[in-house]
Amino acid sequence: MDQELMNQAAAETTGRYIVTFRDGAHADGLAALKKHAGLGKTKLLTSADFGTAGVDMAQFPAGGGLVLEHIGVAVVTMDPAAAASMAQDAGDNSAVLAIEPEGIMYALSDLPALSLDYLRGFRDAADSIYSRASQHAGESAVVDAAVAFVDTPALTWGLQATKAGASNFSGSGIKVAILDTGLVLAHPDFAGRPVVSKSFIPGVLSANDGHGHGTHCTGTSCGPLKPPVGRRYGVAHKALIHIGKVLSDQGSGTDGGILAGIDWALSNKCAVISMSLGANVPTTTVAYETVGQRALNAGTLIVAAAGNNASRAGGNFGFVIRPANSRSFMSVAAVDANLKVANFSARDTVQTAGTAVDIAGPGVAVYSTWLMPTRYNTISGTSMATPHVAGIAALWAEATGARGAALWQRLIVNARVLAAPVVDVGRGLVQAP
Amino acid sequence: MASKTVKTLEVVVTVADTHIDRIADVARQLSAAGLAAPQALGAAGIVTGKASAAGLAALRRVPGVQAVEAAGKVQLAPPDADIQ
Repeated sequence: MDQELMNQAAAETTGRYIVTFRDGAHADGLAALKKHAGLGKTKLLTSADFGTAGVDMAQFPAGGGLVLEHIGVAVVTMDPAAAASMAQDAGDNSAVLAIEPEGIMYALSDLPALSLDYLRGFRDAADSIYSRASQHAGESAVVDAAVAFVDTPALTWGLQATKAGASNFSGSGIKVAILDTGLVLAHPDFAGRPVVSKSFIPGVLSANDGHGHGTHCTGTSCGPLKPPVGRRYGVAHKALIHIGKVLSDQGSGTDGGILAGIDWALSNKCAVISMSLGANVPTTTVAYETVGQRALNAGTLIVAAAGNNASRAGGNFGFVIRPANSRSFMSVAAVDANLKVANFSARDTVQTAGTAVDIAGPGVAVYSTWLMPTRYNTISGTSMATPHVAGIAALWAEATGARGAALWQRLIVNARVLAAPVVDVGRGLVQAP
Repeated sequence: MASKTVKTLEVVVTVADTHIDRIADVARQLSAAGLAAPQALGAAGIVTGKASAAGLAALRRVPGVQAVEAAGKVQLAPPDADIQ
């Protein structure tokens, strides 16, 4: 990642970086800024100087930086070499958690230097910083009034927010595995669609879904371009669907069955595996960590739900569950139609580097396929956000030929910056090519 | 011993990169070392099976074994739950 940071930094024109300090390591983080970038206290403004009024960005010191005390973040000017040197020191025991070039999501080589998207990203980032600073200073948050998606007769809000509904790509030729409760194999929305399926539930021969969860997730990731009735809800409408039933109709499964499903998907050379499942434990296993890495090496990206164990309204931010907490799995948070973090969506506890929430997807009031005769259902969860990311990964795989870690990178660098912390939404909302 | 019933665990064995191409051999040796119902997953480099908690140490000594872990369980919310 350090090499990538250097490459991206070289293309930057602002030279500013967002430096995130580890919790409780504020003083050491400031020391690191001084050591690597020569930014001592005299060159740094602090949000504490502005009190509850919030930071006036116009006073940003040229050649210096701004320390946002309450959120443990500094916005600083430094040259790419200093950033790279700092990034090399960042690690498991470092005071500095992350160094990210400002506006990285939009400053891509294939976009004009000051495109509308870039400016929007810059505005969103500034809004985000101001919002967080003012929130922690006891003021009400700045409302991002520009964003509010709704389901239309043509498209779900999620397909609009991710731009999947407007994409020219379909996932054609890309194999996508959904490891879940299976699929209603006779569902009319999948009539005529080739489906490869296998059950990993002992004593259950068919991958048919008797729960609904797997059918919902399959609909979101791979549902049709033009459903027989109602709005479009599915992303990769020409992807080759692989259904691994690793959860019973009662919604339960074991690591053994799940790993067997992953093995099957790898054997079938699926480019993407969608796993809207997990156990409510904060630790990973050697098996998941290792298999995730082997999958990436083999050209398969595993996308998994971050978990629904937060209750943010009550002050509980939860933790990322197994196996999404494996660093080799892409962990997906849920946002609502206002692009706010869902109340239930788990936060990265930053206990272990790499276990973070990586990206966000639409996960509140998501409309998709369900058991017959109900046919459709609108439900919420990081389980619903995950297949959005999986389907969009298939679009990127088709569009660019990228696989494995390269496909992961495509998703991350093209995500839309959100007004929420990285620990909640990773690099932002997944976007289709 | 109050009971002769030994609780068996579902076990996940991670095979080292160096031994994935010989995973069938590793599975046979695991079986000989006490792993019941071994199933080799060649693409993932995993062998699953069943063993007693006391038997895990013997499995860890098999050449080519990177890790031996008890399998966990996963449970979704019921189908009528709003949050999935």
